[in-house]
Amino acid sequence: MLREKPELIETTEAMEPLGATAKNFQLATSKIECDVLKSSLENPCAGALVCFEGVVRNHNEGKVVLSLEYEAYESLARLEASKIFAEAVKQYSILSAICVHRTGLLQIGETAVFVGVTSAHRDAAFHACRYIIDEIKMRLPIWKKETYEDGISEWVNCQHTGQQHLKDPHLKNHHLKDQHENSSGEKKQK
Amino acid sequence: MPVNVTVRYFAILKEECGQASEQVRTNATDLASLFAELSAKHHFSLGQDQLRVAVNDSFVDWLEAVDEGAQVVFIPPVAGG
Repeated sequence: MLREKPELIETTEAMEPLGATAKNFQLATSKIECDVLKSSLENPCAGALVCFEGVVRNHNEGKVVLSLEYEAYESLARLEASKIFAEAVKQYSILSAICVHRTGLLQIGETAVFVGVTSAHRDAAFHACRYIIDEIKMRLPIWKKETYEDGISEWVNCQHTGQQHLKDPHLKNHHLKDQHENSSGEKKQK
Repeated sequence: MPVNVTVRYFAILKEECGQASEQVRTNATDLASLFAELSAKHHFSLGQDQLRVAVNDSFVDWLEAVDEGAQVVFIPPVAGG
């Protein structure tokens, strides 16, 4: 399960023009260093930096979650992420954006996903950050297995038949629809 | 005319069939038929209507033909973030 190390984000490569490459997206097998990622976004032209962290929460649908595990289909995840970045650039006036998603076993409180966006003015960064995290949740081939206090483990969204259309990436307006959050909390930094 | 493809499995499908990938020689004419064939073999709990399918790292339609040498991945409902 070795992936590229998150340290790569420290390089200026993470600041390459968006949409051209998939370098703005990384999968990490170890702790996401949010401060390092935030520093990598520093840019004198940026008047706004919006960061989002999805954090492992201790409950989901009334069950106590002890830990969870993410698995990714890396090559397709990278391609899909680069499309999402290109879409964000097209829609919003942003300077840069990065995303790092964890794989492997995570404990409560750990950061599962980090998204950081810079722009000259705050509106674009807020909107683009929201767009990127929403699309990543909907479209990237990444799966989550939760382990509960009763010892049972389940792949999220794969157990209850009949609800899967709610997650269909082809359906639009999911910003309104996607209220069925699972065990990632939210933390916004400024 | 049978073709040889590589099928990769992730998440719940990987657990249910007990392997991350397999080489398959098949007469299936499209990807839907290929999934039906493999589902009968591995008894997957998810139906085709709950999955998407990717060939050579691109999402494609279930009615696409199965080409020699293709890498096929059935995508369970995702849950990233």
